[in-house]
Amino acid sequence: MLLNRRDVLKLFGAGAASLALPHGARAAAAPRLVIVGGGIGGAALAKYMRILNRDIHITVIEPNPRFIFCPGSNEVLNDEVSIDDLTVTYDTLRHRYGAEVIQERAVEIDYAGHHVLTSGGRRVPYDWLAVSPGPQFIYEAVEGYSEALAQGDFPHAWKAGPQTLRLKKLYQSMRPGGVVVISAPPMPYRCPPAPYERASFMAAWLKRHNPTAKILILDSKPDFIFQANYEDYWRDKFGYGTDHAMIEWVGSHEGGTVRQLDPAAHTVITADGERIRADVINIIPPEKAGRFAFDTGLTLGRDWVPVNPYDFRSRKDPNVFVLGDAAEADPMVKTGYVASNQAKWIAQIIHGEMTGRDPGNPLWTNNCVAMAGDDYGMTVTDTYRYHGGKIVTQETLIANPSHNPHLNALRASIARNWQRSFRRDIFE
Amino acid sequence: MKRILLTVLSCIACQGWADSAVIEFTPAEAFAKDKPVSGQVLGDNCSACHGTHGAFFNEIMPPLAGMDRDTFIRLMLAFKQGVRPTIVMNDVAKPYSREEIERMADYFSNLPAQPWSRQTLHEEK
Repeated sequence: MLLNRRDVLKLFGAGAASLALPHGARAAAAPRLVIVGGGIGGAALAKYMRILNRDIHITVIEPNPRFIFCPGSNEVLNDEVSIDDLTVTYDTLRHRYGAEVIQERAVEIDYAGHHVLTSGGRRVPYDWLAVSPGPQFIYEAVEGYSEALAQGDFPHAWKAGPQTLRLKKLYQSMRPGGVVVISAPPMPYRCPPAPYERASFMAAWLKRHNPTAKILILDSKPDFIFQANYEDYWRDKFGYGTDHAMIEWVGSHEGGTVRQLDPAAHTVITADGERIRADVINIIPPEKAGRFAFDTGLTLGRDWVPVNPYDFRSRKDPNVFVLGDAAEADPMVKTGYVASNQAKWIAQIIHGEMTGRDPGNPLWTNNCVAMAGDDYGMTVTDTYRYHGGKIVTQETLIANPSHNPHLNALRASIARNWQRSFRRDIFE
Repeated sequence: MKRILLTVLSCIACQGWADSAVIEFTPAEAFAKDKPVSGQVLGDNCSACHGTHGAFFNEIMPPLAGMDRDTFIRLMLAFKQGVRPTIVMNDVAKPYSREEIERMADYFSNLPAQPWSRQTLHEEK
């Protein structure tokens, strides 16, 4: 083992309240890790950093007092869970893991002075900075679409919260026989199977409450992950491929790319110039690294932040790590699962630097799940290694479609268990 | 008899049960000359399902913290070799070398079999 277990963790029965040391009790000269962004990547880093190291001073800069998990949020659309079920506070990070959480927005990095500047005018000093801002949406990729429209009647709902509830209200109050258009983005984007999971969950609800409604997925790519599984399920449940299909999918090779939105006419216009009117339009825009990464020059002229593939130090400054969706970590997919495992590895790197111990080589997995219905789950296992100076995919295995209802139900229960245990692994 | 049983189980694993499409796969031996991955780094990849330090004791997926070392190794090798059919663990175990599985076993067998929520960190010296 890399470190003596008793250095790291010592059992002492009950009493979670007394677990963490108040950070003021630590040495004033303790090295400082500042984390910008309290999403999955940032929170996992704060937690796993503290597990490894009792002395480091950890600060998280995150304007929102609560975090709403995206994984599991398609279930909000299907009335299976509420937004509250997916919402956590930063209390555990504060009280159990002794992290200082500054509820302001990070606005600037003073690279030379090793400070982060916040919206409240604070200068927060760091020895290491980790930036985990997530993605931002490229609204202008779809002419006529905008952030204002997304916050109104055309929610993308790709960040769980008010837009998720808005989308739910819109499609559930649609006229009988109404049409939902989902525009699925090109790669790379957060959580590749989620548009298809979303369509499946909406279809399950519509089948019960609005059985002549239709969902049309217009895709900016020619194929998608778990396609065989989803199409199989849709054939089975929603007449996929027939004249009475409740779900239709049009890939980019068939003109599925949405180029334009005419909000007044409730119409999208595809790359082929086809105009499609719909009752509910859910455009999931293409993505790039979050704004903070651009504002601070971390992107170095690219759409995502270039990082060293071994340790996720940014190319811009080796004291600044970048993780999560914002990092250009090809061939890794952009998922919360991957972000959390990048976070654990960065904690190893920083701990190694503090203690002089070599953390060895990394290994990251994305052993993730998706669902097509409450009776149908699926799994993917991705394994990434650092080899030959870059990140390589060692394994990608995808669950084959099955008509065995027992297996499909077990896969669904694994998916639900994962959603819960994953949330707990970040915030418990 | 044991061999026959294993053969039967592996056939079940291959047909009609939880099989997977191989999109990409390189055996662990291809990475044997790289710097080793520690048991902790390997084991922390298990936490999303099995809990932080493998120590969620109230979920469907079993806890790993404090697990007997030999049991862990035997199970993981059986998953990896596909002789014990599972929903997802055959796929999860497949990329690891025997040495890596042993390092994970060392890591988990040395962790306390106590729910994560009740463990304490860095008790005052």
